Amino acid sequence: MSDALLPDTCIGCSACVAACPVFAADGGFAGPKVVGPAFARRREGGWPGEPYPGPAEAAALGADLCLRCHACDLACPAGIAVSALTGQAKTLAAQTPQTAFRRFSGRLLADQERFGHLVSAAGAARRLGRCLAPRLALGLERTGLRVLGLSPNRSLPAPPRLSLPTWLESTRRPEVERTLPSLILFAGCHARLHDPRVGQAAVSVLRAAGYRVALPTQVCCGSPASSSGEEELAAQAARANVALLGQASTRLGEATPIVSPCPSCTLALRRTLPELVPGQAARQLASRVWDLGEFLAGPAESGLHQALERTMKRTVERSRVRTSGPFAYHTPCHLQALGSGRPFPALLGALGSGTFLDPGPAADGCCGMGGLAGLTAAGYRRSLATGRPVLEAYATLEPALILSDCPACRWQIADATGRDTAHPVEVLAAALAGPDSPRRPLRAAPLSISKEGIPRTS
Amino acid sequence: MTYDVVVIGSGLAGLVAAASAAAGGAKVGVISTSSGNLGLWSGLATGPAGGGRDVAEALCFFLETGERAGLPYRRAAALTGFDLLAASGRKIRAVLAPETMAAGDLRGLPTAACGSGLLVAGFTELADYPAALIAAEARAWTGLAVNHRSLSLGREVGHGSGPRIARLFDDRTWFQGFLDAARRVLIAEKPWRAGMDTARPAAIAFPPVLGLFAFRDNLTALSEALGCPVFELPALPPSIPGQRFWRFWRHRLEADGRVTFHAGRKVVKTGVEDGRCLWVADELTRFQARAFVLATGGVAGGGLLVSPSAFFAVTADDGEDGRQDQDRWSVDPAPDTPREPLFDLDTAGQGPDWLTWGPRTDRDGRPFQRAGAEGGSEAPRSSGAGRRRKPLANVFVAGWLLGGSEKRPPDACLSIVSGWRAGRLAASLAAKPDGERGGDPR
Repeated sequence: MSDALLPDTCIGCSACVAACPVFAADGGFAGPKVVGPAFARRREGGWPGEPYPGPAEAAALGADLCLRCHACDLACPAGIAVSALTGQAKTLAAQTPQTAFRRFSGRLLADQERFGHLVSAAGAARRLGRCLAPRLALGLERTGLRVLGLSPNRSLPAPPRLSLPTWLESTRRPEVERTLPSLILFAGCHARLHDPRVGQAAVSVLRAAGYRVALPTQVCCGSPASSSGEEELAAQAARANVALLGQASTRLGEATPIVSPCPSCTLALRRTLPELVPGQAARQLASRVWDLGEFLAGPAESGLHQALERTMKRTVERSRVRTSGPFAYHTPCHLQALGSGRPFPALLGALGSGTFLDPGPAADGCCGMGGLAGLTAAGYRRSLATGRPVLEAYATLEPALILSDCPACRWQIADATGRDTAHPVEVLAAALAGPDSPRRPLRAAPLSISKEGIPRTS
Repeated sequence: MTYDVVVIGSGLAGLVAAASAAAGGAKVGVISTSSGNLGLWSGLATGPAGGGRDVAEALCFFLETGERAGLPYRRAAALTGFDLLAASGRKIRAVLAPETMAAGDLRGLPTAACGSGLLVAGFTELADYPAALIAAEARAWTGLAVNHRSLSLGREVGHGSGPRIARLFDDRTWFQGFLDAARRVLIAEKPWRAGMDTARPAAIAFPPVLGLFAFRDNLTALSEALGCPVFELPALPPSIPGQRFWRFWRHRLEADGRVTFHAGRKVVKTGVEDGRCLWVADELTRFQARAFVLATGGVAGGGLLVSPSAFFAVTADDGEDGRQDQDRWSVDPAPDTPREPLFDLDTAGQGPDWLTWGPRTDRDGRPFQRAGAEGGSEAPRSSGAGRRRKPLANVFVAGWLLGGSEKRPPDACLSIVSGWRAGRLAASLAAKPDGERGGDPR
């Protein structure tokens, strides 16, 4: 076991507690120090006669409330992977007895592969319903959400007309791509199943930068499962991805980079996957996983600049390349945990694509969504309360678009502030397409659900 | 990834070094595992700042950057620094203090403090902040009239801790309600102690939890509502002043666009050639730079490797019956000296006697206070297997890693001054054309 997982390394300083966004907002959460290292120490062997702590004890500490934002990891002066230890308690807490239906719906949500396919399979019916009887269709959708334990206050993404793989194949130009280096796009469930626009933008930008983009068969990264405490599901997903991406790499080359526009997917593939799947293959796979921004600012940078030069030659003046701004940029927790910096604001700034507003230091924290946690009926208000400082900071700004790499952050910010959000790669794609391309809004305004304002505490 | 300057560590020294290098025009990458000891920091810069132009410039730079970051610090008018109350209620000297604490300078308080008293306000729900004890200690140590009052923050807090209460104070609506309660509880209608000529305290000290972000507005509003100066006292961790520092400085540096933070990364490899460091790397990424600042902290921050045996070698003598006798545990002088893990730098350790964990009570006597990379804040020496090699020309050491090397305990002033100096030297070295590098930057 690595030192980072030894609870005895904890010096009890509470730096993690000061950094934890859930602890600050939620009286039910005992804090990362108690749920992480202290609980792990009790499990390793407490005082003689002390009962061995089980699922009920973990649940009593509110272990299920941890959002896995990793803020504790980045605060710990002793270098402990606090979130990995809270994760163990979370997995334990998930074993508390519950009704068969709750167990089923919980597992369904944690299994994004199944749930996502269910939602996209229902897409045609949803589209038809929204055309024929919008109010009735919306009412039915919300009832469905309630039954599954999801919050009816959340706006659902509009069902996509064209799936990402279909679009990718239809726009492929084999004669141009033949000589280009390949990369594997790990699109993430959101871009693959719910909102292909981010995937399309990522593909356009990567192609413009001189890469042949492959989208081999892949499954959910397992992040929603592990943040719901469903370790076995996460391990299944990890094993499946090692096999599927391994096959694709045999075809495309063992060193082919794997690029994901979603920081949570990148984090799961890079950090969690080698822990869940032992062996050299998983480690080798994890070592070539890139966050999209990191990849564009790194290996693809010169290609990207050349692409922009080409676009500029087509335009009369540089300013016309710019997409409408100003923007605000939100750094997702998982991008911070990856230690990748903030590549997109730097890229967009360097390319002259828009100006950025400063939302202040309060906006640097966790938005509170925590993947699936904020979607559930029980977690909805809690998620808004957790993200309150961040959401208020954005609510007071008036940017044209709030940009963030993470779909959950975008969802939360859009729902709570009523502002338009987009992935920064969409702005980059629009800048590269130039003024000749047909203009369309980057994102339609979503439903604003915060009529009662952002709650203070849960 | 390529930068002009790479700073390793993002505690106080690392952040100051990054700001200083960025101010010198460098593109800076900060690689760190965590926010270091900031989570434990009281927010005060204690310890002697020393004299000289460099120190004055460093402190000036720190004050200016704090102002730009929205977290202003103050420097005492008196040469000896501020006289403040510590978390224990005892008197403490500080060269720099956050604006929220600087108003608590005991010498600057109205002279009436002796008559109507300084009031230590506590919150019933706040753990680890015994207002009564702090007031009693303060009375004993300062000779001032110090009283205490506690007020409840309401059911909403539950069993509160600093971060939860700070979150409440960031809420404007809640804070308006708090102002009324504070007025009612803290400002008595008639004198509540014999000999007091007024019910209004001369000044009120609050725990340092008056908001993570809205603290400046809150203090102004409180001072107006209560009709006397108010200030924050330092407190035990979890430290809100440390959190404020981390968030406000990091945000400013990131927003200015010259500094990139790579958090959660542990440097495990270095590339050294001809007495110069070319790159450092974690398991995944190689970071190249022209100059490096080593601000990895002391033993607690991981900047120094000390095996347990370096602190004390515990041996148990076997008794006559072969069993280990608890009374005969003995603590031997430690055999190991601490090692700087990245570049294998010499430390201030002087062999076994250096690590004696004796009964001395002065701070210099503790091993972790005296450990430190040797060589001043400019060019550390590198040693390998007992041989001394040329100092690394483009690696600069800052912060607690230096502690002890100058026979002084590490403190925040050391971090600020050495961080500023290391950042400035690194930036100027990085700005030189290729041919001119490699010499002594001094």
